[in-house]
Amino acid sequence: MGHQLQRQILVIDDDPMDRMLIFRSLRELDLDCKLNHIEDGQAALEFILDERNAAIDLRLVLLDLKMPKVDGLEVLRRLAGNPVLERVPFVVMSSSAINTDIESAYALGARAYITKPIRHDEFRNAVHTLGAFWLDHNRLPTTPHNEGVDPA
Amino acid sequence: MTAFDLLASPVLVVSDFDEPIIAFNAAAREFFGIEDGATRFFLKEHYRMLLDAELEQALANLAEGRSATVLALVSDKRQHWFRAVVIAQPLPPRSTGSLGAVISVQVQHEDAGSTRSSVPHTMLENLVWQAPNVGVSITPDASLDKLIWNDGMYSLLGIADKTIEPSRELFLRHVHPEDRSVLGDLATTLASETTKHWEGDFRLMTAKGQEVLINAWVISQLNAQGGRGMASLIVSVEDELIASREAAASRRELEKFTYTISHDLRAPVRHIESFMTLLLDSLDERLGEEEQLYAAYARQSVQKLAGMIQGMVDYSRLPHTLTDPDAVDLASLVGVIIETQFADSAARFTIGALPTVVGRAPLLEKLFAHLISNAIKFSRNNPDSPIRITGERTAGEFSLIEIEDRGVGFESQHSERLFEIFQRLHGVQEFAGLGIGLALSKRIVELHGGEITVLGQLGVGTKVVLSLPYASPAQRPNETNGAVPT
Repeated sequence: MGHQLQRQILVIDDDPMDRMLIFRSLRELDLDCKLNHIEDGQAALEFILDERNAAIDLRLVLLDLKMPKVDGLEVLRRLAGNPVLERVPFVVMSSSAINTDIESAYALGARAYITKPIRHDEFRNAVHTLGAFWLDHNRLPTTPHNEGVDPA
Repeated sequence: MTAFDLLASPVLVVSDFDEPIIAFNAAAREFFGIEDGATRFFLKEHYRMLLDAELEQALANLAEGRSATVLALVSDKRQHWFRAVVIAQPLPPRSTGSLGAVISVQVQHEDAGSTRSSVPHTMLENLVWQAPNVGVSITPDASLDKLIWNDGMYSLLGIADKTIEPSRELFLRHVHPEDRSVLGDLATTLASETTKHWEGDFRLMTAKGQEVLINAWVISQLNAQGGRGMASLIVSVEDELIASREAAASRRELEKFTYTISHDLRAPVRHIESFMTLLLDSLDERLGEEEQLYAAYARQSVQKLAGMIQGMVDYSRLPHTLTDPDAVDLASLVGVIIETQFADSAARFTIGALPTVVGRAPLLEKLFAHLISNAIKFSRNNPDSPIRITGERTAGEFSLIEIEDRGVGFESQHSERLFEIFQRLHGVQEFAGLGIGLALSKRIVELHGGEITVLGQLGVGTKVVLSLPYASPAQRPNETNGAVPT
């Protein structure tokens, strides 16, 4: 059933260096999962909402907040009420530690909020923890996308 | 009997100030005890200017056809002296060039000093009466509903024509409609006891439609006739308000700036740190001893920079005002901090009775965590001497708390510098740290209205003394407030 679906982690971040650091750490996990990136919120929305991408089994979205055109909070806002927010964990990874950003992100449906650590070892740990938690340990409710699929 | 005689208050007409020919109305004759032909020495006998300069000013006003208001002492037929507000309206100029005026005397209350000895006191009164931007309103007798305003009052209300009769209604018309209830029935309130005062802030709407925040001070006193007089003083606090608004705005601006700068610095610093780490990891085998040292220095510096940026973020994010202060039990707060944050430390503690204070638990937690961490760090050379944390209530509304260690101490002449951000007294090699803890601690203590000082002696130890507002038992809704949520 689900095996024709393609497992994917989507990183929405306009900073190529951050994307490189995130990908590098995710690859170390050996997750059997395609890593995809999109550089701004507008393109990310188009990708997520495009029905032609129905075959993609999005497992995790790592979302930056400060981006040109459509920022991270706006992405969440425009997805309000869309079942994708329930099906796919959106995790904010931002430089911002502002309380209002954190509160807004959770209120808009983010599942977790990570302030990007400055030290590389901590940054790497944070990404490892996220990847392992959302792709290996955590169970999401059964949907047509993951029905019968045992990710382990 | 003429209309002039019907005026209830003493009124005199001075036809010429050089050769006074004075006419009195009935009330004036009654009050001053004037008989026909006995007017020659009137001014000398019954009238005292409080300030000679004021007379000159008044005469100058009259010469220019303007009215003059002065405070004076007048004596009645019994030779009892009263303070009075004297209003002189100029008579139409005459061909001889001499000066005349209709002078009405608003007797206020009997002057206890009854001689000129009261001048220094009334100089103060004059000062207030003449001060620009200070509005004074005097109601000699509340029941007569007659007001006298100084020029300052007219200016504050934005009324250019100072001949307009002052009245309570006119004043109320200039009070912001939403604030009229603040004043309430002031006359009734103040009349209810022998002497009372009222103070309050409200907004005035000037004649030009400008809104001005003012502070008012009103007193009520019995006057000589047994009636009740009222005196009000109003000053504009608009300038202060604007100044404090501007100060707050520029402070907010500065902090936003600090926050943005430090926040935006995080990404490049993170990238330098990360890619250098990756670079050095992959070069590892190929680096010589000296090159490894350079690399270690570079990484240390980046990490220090990262710490300083975080410190700036923490510092700029401290609140400016204490919202929703609570009763915080310091004994349990300090206990939890030591248990959760310093359990691994070799340091020993002696903790005395600690008070319950009024404040914000998360901020106080930060404060004590910094101070305890400092005490541990600087007494590492002497881990067997316990760190003492004690508290006592002072005579006032504050509790004094002391945190004392027997560590390396410092030279006491440097104690003020300790509170500046990024300030350190010890070399980096001796003690790690960025010099943020005490700067943050000072802000937190001051936010609570307290003070903090550090006493030290090199090689002996350090004592931090701070004050925090004491929470009376009535301010402690429950005893679990000190507990820190984990």
